[in-house]
Amino acid sequence: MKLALAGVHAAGRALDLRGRDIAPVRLLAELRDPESERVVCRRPGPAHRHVGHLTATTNATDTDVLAAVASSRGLEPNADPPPMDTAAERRAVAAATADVVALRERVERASGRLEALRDLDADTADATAELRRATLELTDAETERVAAEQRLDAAEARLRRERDSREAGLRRADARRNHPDRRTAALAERARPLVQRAREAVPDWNSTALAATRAARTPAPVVVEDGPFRHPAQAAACLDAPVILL
Amino acid sequence: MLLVVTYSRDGRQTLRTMCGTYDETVVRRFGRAALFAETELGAFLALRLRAKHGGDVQVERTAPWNEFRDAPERVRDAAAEYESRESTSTPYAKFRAGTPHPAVDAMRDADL
Repeated sequence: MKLALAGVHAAGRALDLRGRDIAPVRLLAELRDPESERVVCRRPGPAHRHVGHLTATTNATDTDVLAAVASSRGLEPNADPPPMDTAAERRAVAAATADVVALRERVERASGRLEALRDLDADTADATAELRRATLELTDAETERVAAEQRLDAAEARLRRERDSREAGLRRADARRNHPDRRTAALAERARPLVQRAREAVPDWNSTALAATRAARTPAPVVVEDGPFRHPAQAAACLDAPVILL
Repeated sequence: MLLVVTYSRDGRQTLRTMCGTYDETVVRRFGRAALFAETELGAFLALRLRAKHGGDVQVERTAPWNEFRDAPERVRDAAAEYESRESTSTPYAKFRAGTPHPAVDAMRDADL
Protein backbone atom coordinates (compact mmCIF):
# COMPACT_ATOMS: atom_id res chain seq x y z
CA MET A 1 0.00 0.00 0.00
CA LYS A 2 0.99 3.62 -0.47
CA LEU A 3 -0.25 6.31 1.83
CA ALA A 4 -0.10 10.11 1.76
CA LEU A 5 -2.48 11.35 4.41
CA ALA A 6 -2.48 14.20 6.93
CA GLY A 7 1.16 14.99 6.18
CA VAL A 8 2.25 11.34 6.57
CA HIS A 9 3.91 9.57 3.64
CA ALA A 10 4.50 5.84 3.91
CA ALA A 11 4.58 2.67 1.84
CA GLY A 12 4.77 -1.06 2.59
CA ARG A 13 2.79 -4.04 3.80
CA ALA A 14 2.98 -3.11 7.49
CA LEU A 15 2.92 0.52 8.62
CA ASP A 16 3.31 2.00 12.06
CA LEU A 17 1.33 5.26 12.30
CA ARG A 18 0.99 5.28 16.07
CA GLY A 19 1.31 8.76 17.51
CA ARG A 20 0.35 10.36 14.21
CA ASP A 21 -2.68 12.56 14.03
CA ILE A 22 -4.84 10.31 11.85
CA ALA A 23 -8.47 9.54 12.64
CA PRO A 24 -9.26 5.81 12.18
CA VAL A 25 -12.59 6.58 10.50
CA ARG A 26 -10.90 8.83 7.96
CA LEU A 27 -8.18 6.25 7.26
CA LEU A 28 -10.72 3.46 6.77
CA ALA A 29 -12.84 5.57 4.43
CA GLU A 30 -9.76 6.28 2.31
CA LEU A 31 -8.52 2.71 2.10
CA ARG A 32 -11.97 1.36 1.25
CA ASP A 33 -12.32 3.92 -1.53
CA PRO A 34 -10.92 2.37 -4.73
CA GLU A 35 -10.58 5.86 -6.25
CA SER A 36 -8.62 7.30 -3.35
CA GLU A 37 -5.25 8.80 -4.22
CA ARG A 38 -4.33 9.32 -0.59
CA VAL A 39 -4.34 5.60 0.22
CA VAL A 40 -3.60 3.26 -2.68
CA CYS A 41 -4.10 -0.41 -1.81
CA ARG A 42 -5.90 -3.55 -2.95
CA ARG A 43 -9.68 -3.95 -2.76
CA PRO A 44 -10.94 -4.70 0.76
CA GLY A 45 -12.90 -7.91 0.03
CA PRO A 46 -16.03 -9.05 1.87
CA ALA A 47 -14.50 -9.44 5.36
CA HIS A 48 -12.93 -6.02 5.65
CA ARG A 49 -16.20 -4.39 6.68
CA HIS A 50 -16.16 -6.57 9.81
CA VAL A 51 -12.49 -7.11 10.62
CA GLY A 52 -10.82 -4.17 8.82
CA HIS A 53 -10.79 -2.09 12.02
CA LEU A 54 -9.67 -3.90 15.15
CA THR A 55 -10.08 -2.36 18.58
CA ALA A 56 -10.25 -3.97 22.01
CA THR A 57 -14.03 -4.13 21.64
CA THR A 58 -14.48 -5.12 17.98
CA ASN A 59 -17.20 -7.77 17.95
CA ALA A 60 -16.39 -10.74 15.72
CA THR A 61 -18.70 -13.42 17.11
CA ASP A 62 -21.75 -12.74 14.95
CA THR A 63 -22.81 -15.11 12.21
CA ASP A 64 -22.49 -12.23 9.74
CA VAL A 65 -18.80 -11.86 10.54
CA LEU A 66 -18.08 -15.57 10.22
CA ALA A 67 -20.00 -15.72 6.93
CA ALA A 68 -17.92 -12.80 5.63
CA VAL A 69 -14.72 -14.61 6.68
CA ALA A 70 -15.87 -17.67 4.72
CA SER A 71 -16.78 -15.72 1.59
CA SER A 72 -13.50 -13.76 1.72
CA ARG A 73 -11.80 -17.14 1.26
CA GLY A 74 -14.10 -18.06 -1.61
CA LEU A 75 -15.84 -20.76 0.44
CA GLU A 76 -19.36 -21.84 -0.43
CA PRO A 77 -21.99 -23.05 2.04
CA ASN A 78 -22.08 -26.50 0.47
CA ALA A 79 -19.32 -28.35 2.31
CA ASP A 80 -19.47 -31.80 0.66
CA PRO A 81 -16.00 -32.96 -0.32
CA PRO A 82 -15.61 -33.42 -4.09
CA PRO A 83 -15.94 -37.05 -5.22
CA MET A 84 -12.86 -39.11 -5.95
CA ASP A 85 -11.66 -38.58 -9.49
CA THR A 86 -11.05 -41.60 -11.73
CA ALA A 87 -7.52 -40.46 -12.62
CA ALA A 88 -5.86 -43.70 -11.48
CA GLU A 89 -8.23 -45.77 -13.62
CA ARG A 90 -7.74 -43.49 -16.64
CA ARG A 91 -3.99 -43.74 -16.24
CA ALA A 92 -4.18 -47.56 -16.07
CA VAL A 93 -6.24 -47.72 -19.28
CA ALA A 94 -3.77 -45.43 -21.07
CA ALA A 95 -0.82 -47.55 -19.93
CA ALA A 96 -2.51 -50.83 -20.89
CA THR A 97 -3.40 -49.42 -24.31
CA ALA A 98 0.20 -48.35 -24.91
CA ASP A 99 1.37 -51.88 -23.97
CA VAL A 100 -1.02 -53.47 -26.43
CA VAL A 101 0.11 -51.17 -29.25
CA ALA A 102 3.79 -51.90 -28.56
CA LEU A 103 3.20 -55.68 -28.38
CA ARG A 104 1.19 -55.69 -31.62
CA GLU A 105 4.17 -54.12 -33.34
CA ARG A 106 6.48 -56.71 -31.77
CA VAL A 107 4.25 -59.55 -33.01
CA GLU A 108 4.22 -58.07 -36.51
CA ARG A 109 8.00 -57.74 -36.52
CA ALA A 110 8.46 -61.31 -35.24
CA SER A 111 6.09 -62.71 -37.82
CA GLY A 112 7.79 -60.75 -40.61
CA ARG A 113 11.16 -62.07 -39.53
CA LEU A 114 9.88 -65.64 -39.40
CA GLU A 115 8.47 -65.36 -42.91
CA ALA A 116 11.74 -63.92 -44.24
CA LEU A 117 13.71 -66.79 -42.68
CA ARG A 118 11.32 -69.35 -44.16
CA ASP A 119 11.80 -67.80 -47.60
CA LEU A 120 15.52 -68.25 -47.17
CA ASP A 121 15.06 -71.85 -45.90
CA ALA A 122 17.02 -70.74 -42.81
CA ASP A 123 16.70 -72.03 -39.23
CA THR A 124 13.44 -70.68 -37.83
CA ALA A 125 13.47 -72.13 -34.29
CA ASP A 126 14.44 -68.86 -32.53
CA ALA A 127 12.09 -66.76 -34.63
CA THR A 128 9.21 -69.16 -33.96
CA ALA A 129 9.88 -69.04 -30.24
CA GLU A 130 10.00 -65.22 -30.27
CA LEU A 131 6.71 -65.04 -32.18
CA ARG A 132 5.08 -67.40 -29.69
CA ARG A 133 6.39 -65.36 -26.73
CA ALA A 134 5.25 -62.06 -28.23
CA THR A 135 1.81 -63.48 -29.06
CA LEU A 136 1.36 -64.77 -25.51
CA GLU A 137 2.39 -61.43 -24.06
CA LEU A 138 0.01 -59.65 -26.41
CA THR A 139 -2.87 -61.86 -25.24
CA ASP A 140 -2.04 -61.03 -21.62
CA ALA A 141 -1.82 -57.32 -22.38
CA GLU A 142 -5.16 -57.38 -24.16
CA THR A 143 -6.75 -59.13 -21.21
CA GLU A 144 -5.24 -56.51 -18.90
CA ARG A 145 -6.57 -53.71 -21.09
CA VAL A 146 -10.10 -55.12 -21.01
CA ALA A 147 -9.87 -55.41 -17.23
CA ALA A 148 -8.57 -51.81 -16.92
CA GLU A 149 -11.41 -50.56 -19.11
CA GLN A 150 -13.94 -52.40 -16.96
CA ARG A 151 -12.47 -50.89 -13.82
CA LEU A 152 -12.67 -47.44 -15.42
CA ASP A 153 -16.30 -48.03 -16.47
CA ALA A 154 -17.21 -49.09 -12.94
CA ALA A 155 -15.45 -46.06 -11.46
CA GLU A 156 -17.19 -43.75 -13.95
CA ALA A 157 -20.55 -45.26 -13.06
CA ARG A 158 -19.88 -44.62 -9.38
CA LEU A 159 -18.77 -41.06 -10.16
CA ARG A 160 -21.94 -40.48 -12.18
CA ARG A 161 -24.06 -41.49 -9.20
CA GLU A 162 -22.08 -39.16 -6.96
CA ARG A 163 -22.52 -36.37 -9.48
CA ASP A 164 -26.25 -36.94 -9.40
CA SER A 165 -26.28 -36.30 -5.68
CA ARG A 166 -23.92 -33.33 -6.06
CA GLU A 167 -26.26 -31.83 -8.62
CA ALA A 168 -29.09 -32.20 -6.14
CA GLY A 169 -26.86 -30.50 -3.55
CA LEU A 170 -26.18 -27.61 -5.92
CA ARG A 171 -29.91 -27.21 -6.49
CA ARG A 172 -30.43 -27.04 -2.75
CA ALA A 173 -27.66 -24.44 -2.53
CA ASP A 174 -29.37 -22.39 -5.24
CA ALA A 175 -32.59 -22.59 -3.28
CA ARG A 176 -30.69 -21.41 -0.20
CA ARG A 177 -29.58 -18.36 -2.11
CA ASN A 178 -33.20 -17.24 -1.93
CA HIS A 179 -33.08 -17.59 1.87
CA PRO A 180 -30.20 -15.29 2.83
CA ASP A 181 -30.36 -16.20 6.53
CA ARG A 182 -29.89 -19.90 5.87
CA ARG A 183 -27.08 -19.16 3.47
CA THR A 184 -25.33 -16.94 6.02
CA ALA A 185 -25.66 -19.59 8.72
CA ALA A 186 -24.29 -22.31 6.43
CA LEU A 187 -21.38 -20.10 5.38
CA ALA A 188 -20.58 -19.22 9.00
CA GLU A 189 -20.35 -22.94 9.82
CA ARG A 190 -17.58 -23.28 7.25
CA ALA A 191 -15.57 -20.45 8.81
CA ARG A 192 -15.96 -21.56 12.41
CA PRO A 193 -13.21 -24.24 12.41
CA LEU A 194 -10.82 -21.87 10.60
CA VAL A 195 -11.33 -19.15 13.20
CA GLN A 196 -10.97 -21.72 15.97
CA ARG A 197 -7.62 -22.84 14.58
CA ALA A 198 -6.46 -19.23 14.05
CA ARG A 199 -7.14 -18.52 17.72
CA GLU A 200 -4.07 -20.56 18.68
CA ALA A 201 -1.83 -18.19 16.74
CA VAL A 202 -2.98 -14.82 18.06
CA PRO A 203 -2.21 -12.88 21.28
CA ASP A 204 -4.58 -12.67 24.18
CA TRP A 205 -6.24 -9.34 23.23
CA ASN A 206 -9.72 -9.54 21.70
CA SER A 207 -8.53 -12.87 20.39
CA THR A 208 -11.86 -13.60 18.70
CA ALA A 209 -11.48 -10.59 16.43
CA LEU A 210 -7.78 -11.26 15.81
CA ALA A 211 -8.52 -14.89 14.94
CA ALA A 212 -11.36 -13.92 12.58
CA THR A 213 -9.01 -11.47 10.84
CA ARG A 214 -6.29 -14.08 10.55
CA ALA A 215 -8.76 -16.60 9.13
CA ALA A 216 -10.16 -14.10 6.63
CA ARG A 217 -8.51 -13.03 3.40
CA THR A 218 -8.14 -9.26 3.62
CA PRO A 219 -6.24 -7.80 0.65
CA ALA A 220 -6.65 -4.20 1.93
CA PRO A 221 -4.81 -3.20 5.13
CA VAL A 222 -6.33 -3.98 8.52
CA VAL A 223 -6.27 -1.02 10.92
CA VAL A 224 -5.32 -2.07 14.45
CA GLU A 225 -6.06 0.58 17.07
CA ASP A 226 -4.14 0.46 20.39
CA GLY A 227 -3.45 -3.20 19.72
CA PRO A 228 -1.14 -5.76 21.35
CA PHE A 229 1.59 -5.67 18.69
CA ARG A 230 4.99 -4.13 19.23
CA HIS A 231 6.07 -4.12 15.58
CA PRO A 232 3.88 -3.68 12.49
CA ALA A 233 5.57 -6.61 10.71
CA GLN A 234 4.70 -8.84 13.65
CA ALA A 235 1.05 -7.75 13.31
CA ALA A 236 1.05 -8.41 9.56
CA ALA A 237 2.47 -11.90 10.11
CA CYS A 238 0.00 -12.68 12.89
CA LEU A 239 -3.04 -11.41 11.00
CA ASP A 240 -1.80 -12.69 7.63
CA ALA A 241 -2.77 -9.36 6.10
CA PRO A 242 -1.38 -5.91 5.34
CA VAL A 243 -1.59 -3.86 8.51
CA ILE A 244 -1.62 -0.27 9.75
CA LEU A 245 -1.04 0.24 13.46
CA LEU A 246 -2.73 3.28 14.99
CA MET B 1 -23.05 -39.56 -25.49
CA LEU B 2 -25.04 -37.05 -27.50
CA LEU B 3 -24.75 -33.41 -26.51
CA VAL B 4 -27.92 -31.57 -27.49
CA VAL B 5 -27.96 -27.77 -27.28
CA THR B 6 -31.05 -25.70 -28.05
CA TYR B 7 -30.93 -22.08 -29.20
CA SER B 8 -34.56 -21.01 -28.87
CA ARG B 9 -37.12 -20.68 -26.14
CA ASP B 10 -39.40 -23.25 -27.83
CA GLY B 11 -36.52 -25.66 -28.27
CA ARG B 12 -35.62 -25.37 -24.63
CA GLN B 13 -39.22 -26.05 -23.67
CA THR B 14 -39.36 -29.20 -25.81
CA LEU B 15 -36.07 -30.37 -24.34
CA ARG B 16 -37.37 -29.76 -20.84
CA THR B 17 -40.51 -31.82 -21.53
CA MET B 18 -38.44 -34.68 -22.98
CA CYS B 19 -36.13 -34.66 -19.99
CA GLY B 20 -39.11 -35.14 -17.73
CA THR B 21 -40.43 -38.06 -19.76
CA TYR B 22 -37.27 -39.97 -20.71
CA ASP B 23 -35.39 -39.88 -17.46
CA GLU B 24 -33.16 -42.88 -18.15
CA THR B 25 -32.02 -41.64 -21.58
CA VAL B 26 -31.15 -38.16 -20.34
CA VAL B 27 -27.79 -38.63 -18.66
CA ARG B 28 -27.60 -35.01 -17.54
CA ARG B 29 -29.42 -31.78 -18.14
CA PHE B 30 -28.04 -28.24 -18.09
CA GLY B 31 -30.44 -25.34 -18.76
CA ARG B 32 -30.67 -25.22 -22.56
CA ALA B 33 -28.58 -28.35 -23.14
CA ALA B 34 -28.59 -32.02 -22.23
CA LEU B 35 -26.54 -35.17 -22.61
CA PHE B 36 -28.44 -38.13 -24.04
CA ALA B 37 -27.33 -41.74 -23.78
CA GLU B 38 -25.92 -42.98 -27.07
CA THR B 39 -28.82 -45.34 -27.75
CA GLU B 40 -31.42 -45.45 -30.49
CA LEU B 41 -33.79 -43.76 -28.10
CA GLY B 42 -31.22 -40.98 -27.56
CA ALA B 43 -30.99 -40.56 -31.33
CA PHE B 44 -34.80 -40.61 -31.62
CA LEU B 45 -35.11 -37.76 -29.10
CA ALA B 46 -32.34 -35.71 -30.74
CA LEU B 47 -33.96 -36.20 -34.14
CA ARG B 48 -37.37 -35.19 -32.87
CA LEU B 49 -35.85 -31.97 -31.52
CA ARG B 50 -34.17 -31.36 -34.88
CA ALA B 51 -37.37 -32.08 -36.80
CA LYS B 52 -39.27 -29.64 -34.65
CA HIS B 53 -36.75 -26.82 -34.23
CA GLY B 54 -34.33 -27.27 -37.16
CA GLY B 55 -31.19 -25.13 -36.94
CA ASP B 56 -31.93 -24.15 -33.37
CA VAL B 57 -30.82 -27.60 -32.27
CA GLN B 58 -27.15 -28.57 -32.25
CA VAL B 59 -26.19 -32.21 -31.75
CA GLU B 60 -22.63 -33.30 -31.04
CA ARG B 61 -21.27 -36.69 -30.24
CA THR B 62 -19.05 -36.73 -27.17
CA ALA B 63 -16.37 -39.22 -26.19
CA PRO B 64 -14.81 -39.85 -22.78
CA TRP B 65 -11.51 -38.05 -22.47
CA ASN B 66 -8.50 -39.78 -21.01
CA GLU B 67 -5.78 -37.19 -20.56
CA PHE B 68 -3.15 -39.89 -20.05
CA ARG B 69 -3.81 -41.09 -23.57
CA ASP B 70 -5.09 -37.91 -25.27
CA ALA B 71 -2.94 -35.07 -23.87
CA PRO B 72 0.86 -34.78 -23.86
CA GLU B 73 2.70 -35.15 -20.58
CA ARG B 74 4.15 -31.61 -20.76
CA VAL B 75 0.63 -30.14 -20.86
CA ARG B 76 -0.54 -32.33 -17.96
CA ASP B 77 2.49 -31.36 -15.88
CA ALA B 78 2.11 -27.66 -16.68
CA ALA B 79 -1.56 -27.70 -15.62
CA ALA B 80 -0.91 -29.62 -12.40
CA GLU B 81 2.02 -27.46 -11.36
CA TYR B 82 0.34 -24.17 -12.26
CA GLU B 83 -2.70 -25.10 -10.18
CA SER B 84 -0.48 -25.85 -7.18
CA ARG B 85 1.46 -22.56 -7.50
CA GLU B 86 2.07 -20.66 -4.32
CA SER B 87 0.65 -17.30 -5.32
CA THR B 88 -2.79 -17.41 -6.98
CA SER B 89 -2.16 -14.03 -8.60
CA THR B 90 0.82 -15.22 -10.67
CA PRO B 91 -0.16 -15.24 -14.36
CA TYR B 92 0.78 -18.35 -16.32
CA ALA B 93 3.20 -16.46 -18.58
CA LYS B 94 5.22 -15.34 -15.55
CA PHE B 95 4.91 -18.74 -13.86
CA ARG B 96 6.39 -20.60 -16.81
CA ALA B 97 9.38 -18.27 -17.31
CA GLY B 98 12.56 -20.28 -16.80
CA THR B 99 10.69 -23.61 -16.69
CA PRO B 100 10.18 -26.21 -19.45
CA HIS B 101 6.39 -25.63 -19.37
CA PRO B 102 4.87 -24.86 -22.80
CA ALA B 103 3.82 -21.34 -23.83
CA VAL B 104 0.15 -20.50 -24.31
CA ASP B 105 0.69 -19.66 -27.99
CA ALA B 106 2.49 -22.94 -28.61
CA MET B 107 -0.39 -24.88 -27.03
CA ARG B 108 -2.98 -22.87 -28.96
CA ASP B 109 -1.37 -23.88 -32.25
CA ALA B 110 -0.87 -27.55 -31.36
CA ASP B 111 -3.84 -29.83 -32.01
CA LEU B 112 -4.31 -32.74 -29.66
